[in-house]
Amino acid sequence: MDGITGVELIRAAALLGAGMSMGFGAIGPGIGEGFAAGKACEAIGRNPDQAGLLTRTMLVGQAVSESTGIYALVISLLLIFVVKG
Amino acid sequence: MDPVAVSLIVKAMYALGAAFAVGFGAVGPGTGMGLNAASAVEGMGRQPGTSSDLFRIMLIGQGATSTPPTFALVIAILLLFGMGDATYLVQGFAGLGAGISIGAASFASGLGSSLPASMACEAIARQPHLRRPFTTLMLVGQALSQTPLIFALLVSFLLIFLPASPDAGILQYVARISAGICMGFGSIGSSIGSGLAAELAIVGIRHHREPEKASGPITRTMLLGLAVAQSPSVFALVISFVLLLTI
Repeated sequence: MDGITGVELIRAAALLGAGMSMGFGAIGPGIGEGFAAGKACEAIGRNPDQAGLLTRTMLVGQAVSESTGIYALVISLLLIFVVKG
Repeated sequence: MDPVAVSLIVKAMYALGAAFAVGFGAVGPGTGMGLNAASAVEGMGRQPGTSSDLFRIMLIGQGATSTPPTFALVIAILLLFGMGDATYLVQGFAGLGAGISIGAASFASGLGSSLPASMACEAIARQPHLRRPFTTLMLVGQALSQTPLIFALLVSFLLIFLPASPDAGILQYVARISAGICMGFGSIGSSIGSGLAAELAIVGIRHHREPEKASGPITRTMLLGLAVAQSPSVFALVISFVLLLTI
């Protein structure tokens, strides 16, 4: 491999960064949202009358937790399509 | 580098990919199936009368948990037997990426799908008359915990079978391995999260005043929450496809 220019190197690093950003960025929201869903189910078991309130609160909390995953998605797309080296 | 050296490097990368797939991919399911057996044994010690039920549920749960390492094994065998045909360096990077993708996903969904299975064994030992809703929740949770694994398998197949062009440059090399990292590690969160949700849903039925009526509303909320929890792995799938198909 003798023909790697500086621009290519920067693009390649950006592509690797895009994969790592989305890959590792998806771990947190995935575990967090699953935990929220599970705790909502547990709470409905203890207090079935409040099922509506619990489901609503779970969805709001998951939406907030989702935002970190969306940050990772946005940064990945920027690294793939915007960074030109 | 002369052509002989390149084909040797490609073979070495295929071997590394296969090793990562099965080596890393066996950690989660192995630990998980052991924990599952542990909670079944604990339950039998507490309630020897339920031992035949517990044994059956333990085997069903372990059977479902051994799907992820089987997929990893399939990819590893494909890589090991596809070694001879691979000639270009880009194929080597793709093989390594395929191994990372399925290895990390198998680690996570093995661990994730063992969580509801362990809790189901524990719950059946304490409330044997509720074994039907417990088993249903366990199987639904395991199936959903393995959705990201299917995404990772798809990306691995694409990486292995996507046609390689001889004039691919460093961008294609990096994009292949980056797609594997993205899908593999991106599936960890959703798999473990889905397993946790199903585990806690079983706990919810145990605490309900009238457990016979509980499974409907609890399953509804669990499915809603799990649908949201799958979205990070869908994002990872999208980024992997973009890396594979547009670069």
